[in-house]
Amino acid sequence: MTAIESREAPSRRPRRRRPLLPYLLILPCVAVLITVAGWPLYKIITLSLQKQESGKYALFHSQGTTPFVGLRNFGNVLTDSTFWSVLERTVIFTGVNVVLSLLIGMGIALLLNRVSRWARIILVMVLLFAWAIPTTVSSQVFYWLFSNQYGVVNHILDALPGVHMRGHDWFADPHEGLAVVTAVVVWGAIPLLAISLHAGITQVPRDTLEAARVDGAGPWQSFRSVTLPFLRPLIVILTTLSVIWDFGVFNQIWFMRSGHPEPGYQTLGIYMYSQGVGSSHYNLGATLGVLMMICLLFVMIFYIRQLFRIGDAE
Amino acid sequence: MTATELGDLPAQATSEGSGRRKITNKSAAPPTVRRRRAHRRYATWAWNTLAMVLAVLIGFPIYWMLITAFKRNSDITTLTPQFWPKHPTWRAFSEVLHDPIFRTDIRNSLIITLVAVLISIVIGFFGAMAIARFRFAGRKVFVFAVLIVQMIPLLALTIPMSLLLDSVHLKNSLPGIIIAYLMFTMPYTVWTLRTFIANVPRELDEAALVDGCSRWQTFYKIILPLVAPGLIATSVYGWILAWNEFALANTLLLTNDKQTLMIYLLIFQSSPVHGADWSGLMAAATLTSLPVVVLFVIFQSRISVGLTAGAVKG
Repeated sequence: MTAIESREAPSRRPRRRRPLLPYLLILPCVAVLITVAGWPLYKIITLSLQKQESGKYALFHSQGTTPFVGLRNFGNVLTDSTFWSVLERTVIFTGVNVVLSLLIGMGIALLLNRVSRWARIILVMVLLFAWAIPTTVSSQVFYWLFSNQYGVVNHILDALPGVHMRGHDWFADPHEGLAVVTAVVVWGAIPLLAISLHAGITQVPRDTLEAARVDGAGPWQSFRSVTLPFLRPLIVILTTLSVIWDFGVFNQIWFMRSGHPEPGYQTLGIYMYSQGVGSSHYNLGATLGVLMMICLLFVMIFYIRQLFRIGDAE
Repeated sequence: MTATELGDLPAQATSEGSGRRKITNKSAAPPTVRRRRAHRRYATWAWNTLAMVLAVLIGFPIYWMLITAFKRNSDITTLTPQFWPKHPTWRAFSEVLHDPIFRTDIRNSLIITLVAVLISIVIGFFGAMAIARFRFAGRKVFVFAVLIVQMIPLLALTIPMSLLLDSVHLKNSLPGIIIAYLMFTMPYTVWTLRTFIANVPRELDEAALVDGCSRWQTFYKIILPLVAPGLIATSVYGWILAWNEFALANTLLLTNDKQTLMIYLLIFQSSPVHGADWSGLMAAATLTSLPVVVLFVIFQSRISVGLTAGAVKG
């Protein structure tokens, strides 16, 4: 990293110009980041500390006079049982989605490693298409697949012996509805996971695997003691990313409930959005937003530390 | 973490083919070996079948979207779903394409996406150069800030963003939403371009500097051409992120003449006029995802380099 600088030292370039260049390069970037991220971050924190005012009129027309109330908004939210049930739902939803996506993704990655070339090309191609479909679109497609009247899923399930699903409404019970949401989320997450895990698996040193086989390790054993440790850094990164994405799932639920999610469908993101944007309770929304960021902060810091450790961020 | 390119998929599974050849060539092999090889061949056959079943399962939602879009409405509301459109028609597509709101929304989506990506590519490239090629005080802070902004749940910042844009009279305007979109396109671009620039061997710059090139010449004669594919891939993925964004657009754009295609989809679904117009909805969904699917499938192998380096899927 320092090679370029030491090489340059004997040149006739004036020394004092060098340190300035990187700062000039990041200047526009820093300006944009402050405007589009720093400013809203500051705003969301102030909002969360201000007195609860309904309506934006009060916020803008009594600019300086909206009193600060310290952590009272947080106190209100944290003593509200709705918040805790929403948080519980979000955590369970995230856990189920992350585990399912990773397990299926890993399964497909291993499968891609075992099949013939033609089969792999077909499966990868299908995965790429699924990956590219916007979440808004996939949510609507799944909504249609699971529709109660003419949905094809009900029809197929109904054809199974002993199952009666004709006209079954998947969205009447939020648990079943969230299961359908999970199906969309996992469907959309598998391609990235499977393809990057497969790319990782192909990097596993062949001779180590061979050595394990010669020593009498079965497929499961060599997976556990050779492949898995080798993939660990990749798995850690993919898991943290999945946690962040699945914790913030929004489009899928919003679209499946046509923009009006019932209480049983409210994850933290949905709850925050409905309160803050839908009902214009900006301070409540901001407080929930800050709490959401705090929940994810640990995951984010873990992720960034991991990146620095791998040396990616160096 | 390398990209999985369809063309250069690992040679692992092709060993199946050579194994089979060996059996015919060396039929003198001991019976146990022959049996094991036969066993492996059956195993591969079983794995290939499983892969095809998965490909069908994963691809089915996309298939269903497409054929629904081509069906007549009377063929959709049948008791037994048709797994192949009996009377394929372009009606749904032409209806959607002739909808003036859809046309306005395509235009809006194009403008917003294009401008947001262009701004982030130009500004982000400078920032990426700075962190990939220079060591300077505050570099780590900058990298950290970029990563944090990239990870922050966008959803949480919709509320302050909408209030802030409102206060400068940019809410419900295309410039306003373009500014808001920089919130995720900019950090993504900086981070991904950094990976591509870091992959250009530093020795090349040094050689050019030694040969008497100025820093500027080194930049546009050495780095720029080598990073060009990375620039294209990054723009493509930035394009996909911005094109697919929904929550911010739904918050900031309020009127028909300003909204994007994603909002069109939501409104199409929930409007009473189109209530059960599944073929229309699926046609709109197909048209909305077409530009991103095509771009993604073409550029995926390059995009995944940036993704596994820690990008946000959106």
